[in-house]
Amino acid sequence: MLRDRSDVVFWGALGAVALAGVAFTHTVANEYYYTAVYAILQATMMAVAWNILGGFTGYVNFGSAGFFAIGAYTTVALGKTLEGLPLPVMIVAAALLCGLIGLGLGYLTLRLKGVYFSIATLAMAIVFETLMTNWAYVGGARGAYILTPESHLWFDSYIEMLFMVMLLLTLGSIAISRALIRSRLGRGLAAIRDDELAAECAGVPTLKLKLISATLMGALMGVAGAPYPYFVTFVDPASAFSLFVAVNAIAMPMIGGTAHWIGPVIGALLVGTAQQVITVTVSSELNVLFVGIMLVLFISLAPQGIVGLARKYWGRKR
Amino acid sequence: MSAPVLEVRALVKRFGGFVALNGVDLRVGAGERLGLIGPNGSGKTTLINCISGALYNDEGSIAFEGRDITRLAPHQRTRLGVARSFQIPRPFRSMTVLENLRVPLEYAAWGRAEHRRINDEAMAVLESIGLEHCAQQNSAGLTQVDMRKLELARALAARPRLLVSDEAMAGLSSAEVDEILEILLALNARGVAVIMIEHIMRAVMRFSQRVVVLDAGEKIAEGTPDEIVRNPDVERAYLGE
Amino acid sequence: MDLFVNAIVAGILLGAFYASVSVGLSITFGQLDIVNIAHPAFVVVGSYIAWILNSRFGLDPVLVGVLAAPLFFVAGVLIYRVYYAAFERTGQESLSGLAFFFGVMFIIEIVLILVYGVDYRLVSADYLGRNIDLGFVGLPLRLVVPFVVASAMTGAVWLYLSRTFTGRAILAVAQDRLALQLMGADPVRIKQFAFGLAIATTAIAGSLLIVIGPVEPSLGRGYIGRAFAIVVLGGMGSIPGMVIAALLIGVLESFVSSFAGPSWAPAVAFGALLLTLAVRPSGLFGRA
Repeated sequence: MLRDRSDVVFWGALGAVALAGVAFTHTVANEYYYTAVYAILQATMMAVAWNILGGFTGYVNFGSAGFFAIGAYTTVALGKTLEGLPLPVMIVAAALLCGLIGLGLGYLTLRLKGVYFSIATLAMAIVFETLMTNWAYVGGARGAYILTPESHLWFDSYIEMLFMVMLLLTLGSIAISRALIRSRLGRGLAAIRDDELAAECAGVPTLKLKLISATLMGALMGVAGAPYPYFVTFVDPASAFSLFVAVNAIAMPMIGGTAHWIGPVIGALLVGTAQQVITVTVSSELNVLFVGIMLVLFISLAPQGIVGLARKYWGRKR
Repeated sequence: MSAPVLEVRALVKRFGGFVALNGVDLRVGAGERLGLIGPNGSGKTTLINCISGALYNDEGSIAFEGRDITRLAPHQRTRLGVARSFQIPRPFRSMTVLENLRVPLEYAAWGRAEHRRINDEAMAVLESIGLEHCAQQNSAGLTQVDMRKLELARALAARPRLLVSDEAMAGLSSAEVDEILEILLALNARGVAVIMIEHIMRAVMRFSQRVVVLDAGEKIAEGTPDEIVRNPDVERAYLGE
Repeated sequence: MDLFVNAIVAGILLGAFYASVSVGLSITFGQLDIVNIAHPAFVVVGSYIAWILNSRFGLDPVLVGVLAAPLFFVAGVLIYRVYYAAFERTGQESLSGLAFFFGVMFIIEIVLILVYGVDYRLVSADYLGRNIDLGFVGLPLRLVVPFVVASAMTGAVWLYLSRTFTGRAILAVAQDRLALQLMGADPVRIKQFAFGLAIATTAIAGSLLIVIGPVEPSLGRGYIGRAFAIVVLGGMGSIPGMVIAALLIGVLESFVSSFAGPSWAPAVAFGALLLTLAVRPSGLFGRA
């Protein structure tokens, strides 16, 4: 794991962030900050997950909200069936289920052109939203209320614990993403993204790698959604399957830069923070417009994202 | 005669109502240098697309080193030892030249490397082709001839026993054609069978032990370069009645 | 039995309307390979324009749609120029183009919400609320009028594409750019025209949409699945195929709505799309 200097720097930085998180929980008491940072972390994790199939492999997923919401509803359904189930169990269940959905969806459509896959992801999200809307057990269209569990371990409040959980999950997903892109598997994915036919003829088993990529993406998105019910305490299909989640998941990596593992992180931190500021100062509807406009602008003018702009600015050959 | 490295039997490929290949037979011996020529649209690229697996044939069979590969995916065929270069180079544009070679080395030739470190292996391939000076350069910014060499290098990195070179010399200067020719001859000297598709006749004549001529999806002639040059059917195919 | 017949009839009437929504997408996605996922959002804009002029000046909504069509055409041409400059000319993969239209769709929806709110909007016209009674089945005019107009528009577009030079050039441009250039037609101008034509159809389709029922900004999203399902199911290059697929989807949705409940309707088209992609991606009548 500590192969070279960049590894040392990376893990050092992760450790520092984790410690900063702990310090945060000891110094900050205002709940608002925890909810704001939680939202940004959740967005970061979704962006990182999206980028695995989107930026690394070149297949655009429009249905991110679907995976996220299924993760959330897994928690709702399990919580209703077996009272008192601890959060880590929910997370694992969400990862398995959403990973499977990613695999299934991939198997149905990844043998076709990328465009069909993208439309299929949108279709999948709507189909699942319809299913959840019609499933009374988890509240149907009216939604479900989630009671906040009593235990919050050694933290001062439940939201603080949730924040720490989300922080660790996000850091973990970033580590996975970085390890992936630096691995043989990641190089195979990049070849698929650059030229799938040439990759196939170079010996890359493209379908298998695409399926792995889709499964991983699905699992991580499910994990991002698993704690959501405890965060909002009320889950309904409209909010869980919200298009806003889907657009953020695409916009943040594209703005940050899809080719590098740090792109979605940068994009999520910048855009996420901007969104929190806009919500507080102006309105939350404007957020949505902001993201949409940023997405269109960046795609049209700076398709390589902020990372790409930085590279060009520093004049590096690659 | 030793067992053929490639045996194509009665290959048929249709696109809708258009018959691109109409029952083509092809045999390539181990370590042989075969030239494949024919007028534009005769089906040469379709044939190698079928051989490499980029297209699936409608009828007929393809066997590589005695093994039926007709229904195998392209990546499986490459792993078995069939490599091809593309007529229009298709580099992995986000990668450097060296990184481009890592892909076939880490996938097609996985486990068959000579060097312990992949980068050393990649550099060795680059050196054999004369591209070592641009190893760290982004592959999208190469000159035409270097792009063609990279195409070949990627095919070489797959450690093939049969290489199909699809018009690697098109549009190159005379000196550049010779460079590519030397690379292919050196490769063949190491025991790799080569199918060369070209329109540049002096290259085909110099390189090939045997030449196959396609026209309108059918094989119309086969023989040594001298025999082919003197064949009236071939002349007719290229020049018309 | 009565329910059954009504379901079929409603399905056919709706299906014709769905065809009018999808014909523009059939051009942009089926012919030009441009994945305009914002197409239904433009339809919704058409609805809002019909609503504004109808409530302000009392103009008949369909009339508004027809009048607005040339403006939408110009808008389509402009949008294509941006798309071309940003994506097609540089050879960027269609993935960025996809995300571009996704962003456009999003922006349209949000601007509508910001300006007009999330309330449902309706139009008023004297044929709304009246039925034609054919004995065993009643045909609501709010479905019949769109059926007639939609059929006329779809038919007109189909005739245009198959009979006129420009129309046939549009059909050809996807298949053979070079031949088109050799014939003296500029592929970019052809595509531009085609895109404009596609967006022009959304003006009319939008006016029909708001005749059929109330409209709110996010209504377009439900039509993404329908429109793409119809274009893909019908076969990418085929307008007659698209019409048949539209009728099929219309009838299917109608049945599901009548017998399983309207909350299941959105899943029908999307489910059909997934099934088509999984089983026969070239659609019923498409070129393989």
